[in-house]
Amino acid sequence: MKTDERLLRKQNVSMVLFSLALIGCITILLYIAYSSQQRIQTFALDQLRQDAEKRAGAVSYFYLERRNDLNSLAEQRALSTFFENQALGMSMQYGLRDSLFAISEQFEKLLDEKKLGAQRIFTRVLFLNTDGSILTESRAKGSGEADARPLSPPALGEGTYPDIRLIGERNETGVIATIPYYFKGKYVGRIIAFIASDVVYDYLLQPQTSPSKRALAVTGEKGQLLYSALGPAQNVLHVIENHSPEMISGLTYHYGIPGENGANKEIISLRTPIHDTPFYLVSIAPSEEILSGLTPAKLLFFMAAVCLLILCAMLLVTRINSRKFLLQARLSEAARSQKALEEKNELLQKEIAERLRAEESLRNSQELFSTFMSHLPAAVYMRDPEGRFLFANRYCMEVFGWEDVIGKTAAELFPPEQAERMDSDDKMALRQGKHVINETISNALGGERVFETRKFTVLAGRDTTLLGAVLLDITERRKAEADKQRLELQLRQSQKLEAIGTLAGGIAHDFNNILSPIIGFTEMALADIPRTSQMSDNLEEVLKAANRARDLVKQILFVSRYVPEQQRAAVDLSSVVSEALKFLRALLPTTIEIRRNLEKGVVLADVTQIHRVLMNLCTNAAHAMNDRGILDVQLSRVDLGKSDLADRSIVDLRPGSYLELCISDTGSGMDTATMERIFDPYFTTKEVGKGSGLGLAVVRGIVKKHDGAISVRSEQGKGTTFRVYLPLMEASVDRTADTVKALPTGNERVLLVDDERVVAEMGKAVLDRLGYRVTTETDSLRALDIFRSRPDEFDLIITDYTMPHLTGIDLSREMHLIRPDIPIILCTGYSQEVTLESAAKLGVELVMKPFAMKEIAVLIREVFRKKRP
Amino acid sequence: MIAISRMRAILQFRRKTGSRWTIVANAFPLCVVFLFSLAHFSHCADLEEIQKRGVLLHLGVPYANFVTGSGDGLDVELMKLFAEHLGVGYQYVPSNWTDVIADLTGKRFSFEGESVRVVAEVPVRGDVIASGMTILPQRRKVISFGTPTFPTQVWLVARHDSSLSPILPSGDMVRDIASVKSQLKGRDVLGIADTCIDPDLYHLKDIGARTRCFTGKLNELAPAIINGEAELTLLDVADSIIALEKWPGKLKVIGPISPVQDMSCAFSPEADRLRQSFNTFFDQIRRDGTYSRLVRKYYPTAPAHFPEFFEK
Repeated sequence: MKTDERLLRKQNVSMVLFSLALIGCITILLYIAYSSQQRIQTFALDQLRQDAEKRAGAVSYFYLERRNDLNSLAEQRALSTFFENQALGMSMQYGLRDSLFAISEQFEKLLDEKKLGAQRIFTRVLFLNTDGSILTESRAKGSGEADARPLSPPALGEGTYPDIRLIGERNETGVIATIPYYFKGKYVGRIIAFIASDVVYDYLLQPQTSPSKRALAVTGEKGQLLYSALGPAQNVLHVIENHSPEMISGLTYHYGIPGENGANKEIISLRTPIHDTPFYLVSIAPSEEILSGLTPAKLLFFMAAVCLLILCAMLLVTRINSRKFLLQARLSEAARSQKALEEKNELLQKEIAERLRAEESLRNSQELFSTFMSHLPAAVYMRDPEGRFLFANRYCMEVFGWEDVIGKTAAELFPPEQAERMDSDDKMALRQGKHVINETISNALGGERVFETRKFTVLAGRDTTLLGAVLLDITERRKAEADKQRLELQLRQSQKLEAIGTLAGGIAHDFNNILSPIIGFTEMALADIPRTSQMSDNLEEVLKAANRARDLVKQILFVSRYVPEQQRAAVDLSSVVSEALKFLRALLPTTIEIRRNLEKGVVLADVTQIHRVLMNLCTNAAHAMNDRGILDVQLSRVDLGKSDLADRSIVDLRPGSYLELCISDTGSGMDTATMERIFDPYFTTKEVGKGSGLGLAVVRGIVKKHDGAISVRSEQGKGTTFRVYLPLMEASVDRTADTVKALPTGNERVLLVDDERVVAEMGKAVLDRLGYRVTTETDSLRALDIFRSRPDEFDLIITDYTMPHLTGIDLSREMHLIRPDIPIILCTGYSQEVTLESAAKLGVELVMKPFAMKEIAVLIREVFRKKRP
Repeated sequence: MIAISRMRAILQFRRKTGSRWTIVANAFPLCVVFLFSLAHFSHCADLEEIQKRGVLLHLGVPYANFVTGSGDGLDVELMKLFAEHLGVGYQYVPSNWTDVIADLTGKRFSFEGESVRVVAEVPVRGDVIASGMTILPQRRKVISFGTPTFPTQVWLVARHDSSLSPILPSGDMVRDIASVKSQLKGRDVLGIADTCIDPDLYHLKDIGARTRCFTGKLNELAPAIINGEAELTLLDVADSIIALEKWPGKLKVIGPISPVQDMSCAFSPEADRLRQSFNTFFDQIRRDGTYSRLVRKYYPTAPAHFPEFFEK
């Protein structure tokens, strides 16, 4: 409270000081207001003065124009003409009157033309002779007698310039413009024009349209009232008449006049001369309109009174404020305490809100964690040091088929062996206190699954260490890795086979070149000797051996998979199977017994493809028998009806006659699941790297291409049977022995080209024997030269394919350029580049070496037959 | 048509007889008939014929402000209004003071003292003369005048440096004329023959003046004396007023030579109905103020000069 009293004292002192300062300010303001009021009044008076001067100027200008009018009139020729004629002595009756009429015309013109609005300015114009008589005059219509005032020439005087005069007395005053007229330097009279002054002043000094109470009047020098526009201020008339002659131009005069309610009223009056005229403009305005009814002195007094009142009021306010201040100080103290309390409450509220937010955040975090765990595609669990499960996520529960895991041990959830392994691993992880990563195989999802397991310790509090584990199912990844490894092995195998094929191709070519002369010469020798001789038998054996060798080459090429696909032809399938079994016999171990029962039957087939089917099925059977057992191959004719097809579960065959190839083994057999997938590409039951998984898929493809079908029956532990059905043909295969004597012959000229001399000689001998005229050549370039020099000397070209310098293809192309119609037979032991199609495109015939005599004899005649039209 | 048939018959007769004298003897009466038919074409038209023709032929001579020569003038406008009154078109026919009466009457007259003699017949070219023509006794013998339309008087006008002084009006016109004439002895006076300012009309020779007939136009008289061709000239009032306005200080009016005269429109004596029609028309436009407006337009001071005429 003492502080408040001190504050109060300080405030009172401040208030006094403030009041003193305020008094000072008010004094200054009073002075400023006084000065300002004075300036305003001065300005208002100046404006009144300027307004009066402006109006007086307008009137003055108007009279100046009228003087000019008279000047112009005096310069008119009519006047001078009149006085000229008068000077010549002409009488008014005889000639002079006309001149006078001309003057009157000019006067009338002046009356008519000079107007203010619709009102005439002049009412009467006359020429006054020096003797006071009127020479001529013109009057405006309706001008009346007002301007018929007596004019006194002596009073008007002579003068030189036009001027404005006031004529008449008191109530009969008028304004004239007059100009003296001189003829030949002699004053002869003057022109006088009476001005309608009321019209003029009404026009130029229009009464105030505003509610202002100002009045205007025009007076003569002696105060004669010529015109007044007093408006409501009619009572100022006596001021104008009595005081205006005393007024000095430019000064303002204050007069008191009786007001409307009898009180005296002050007016301001001002007299302004109208230059170049004997007139004055008197302006009268009520003082209150100019000075706002308040003089500077009155204003000063009024404002001082107001200031005193304000000071008293301030002292009173100060006293009231002092009491109020003490009360406010106490109230402030109470308010401060309340505010501190409110702040604490607010802080508390904030802490509560913060805590609620933290709880909400925690809840959200837990939900997020829970959601994350439930969607995690890995098994996660936690165990305490005693091996009890504390947590397992949804995936873990689903994978292992658990329903409730909390508090349980591994022994309660897994088989003993697996539980023991898990406990052992977990304890090791807890003991080592670091990550343990390993792969485990567990029964899950109804089978064995491979898991990548990561185990780690989790610190829960200061002393408790828990075990955490994450199990990632990598079963599919492992399978994919195995598939990849198998495909890589297949690729390597394929590359190996390609290399073998290339090698086999080279060998086949050489072998064919070797076999060609053997077969050729043997055939010729057999033809030359009697069939009954011992020599003939021996040569037959040689020929058989050579043919077997040729077949062997073909088989090598089949194995190497580089035999070009041949066109399907009617073949006796039993001979094909028989040949294949011969080959298999050499391949399969002797512990496998091969049994056969082959019925002859002709089918439309590609021998090579059929050979491949047999090789695949038989090697699979051998593999299933684990190199020990019986391989049974049967070939029989069957007629299949609809029911038979249904019994055999064959859906893609139509009823008819078929040749059934049945291959059975006594192997381990297959389960149903395996049996369902055996024709799928890349499905294999062999160890990784031992099978491509393509064999049976290829077999089914070949059979389907031959319009056939394949079926399988198997029983685990008893063996498997594959049945292949191919449509049976009724045609038979001509296999009668060929003889040289029956071969077609000819006598055409043949150019035979082969870089192998022996082959060339053999060919020449065969063709000679067939009756042809043969030219041989071992160098392809020389052969081309020969043909180029004598193209018409040859009817046929037979050329080897593989030759240095020019291949058989290149040679054929060059020869066709020389002679497009020359027939060419291309012989090849082996080539990947040349096929039947490519040869046909080139326009040449293709024959595979080693060829039999009959084969070439028939082909030659076929070529000539085609050539003939 | 008869004459032509007769001529053909004579020619046929000559072919038969071959006598020249016989032809002349037979042709004479035919020529008389032919001339008679020509005379028929030169007669003056009266009102009916003008209305039938559809146009009023106004004979005019450029003079003062009566016929200005520029297509207007007091008498030009008067005749246009008269043609309109008749319901016919208007056509101005230019003439001169020597031929204008012959153009109206179809006869050329010789005035010898009080007698008048027809000296030739000429084609009639117009129906009415309206050109400020003064009504003179001599003219009355051969043409008819309508109601007076404008007053006039002949004045004696001198160059400004002439030794003659203007007379002081005495109030008696006869005395004033005598006063003027008394000063003319031995003085050169210009005038124009056969017009209102013909010196012979006023017997100036008899009083000893040397009269000279001016060959130019009326408008050229004032410039002629200013240029010194003569000291004095006769001018009618209208011309005098214009001359005084045009050349102020160069001319002075000495006084009257004639009493106040009248001007009017002249008609052929045969066109009496036309003249009466004009008189009716003129009375009408005087009453309705049309004529006053015309006078003020061309002679603004005339009413002041002759108030007794214009204030009737």
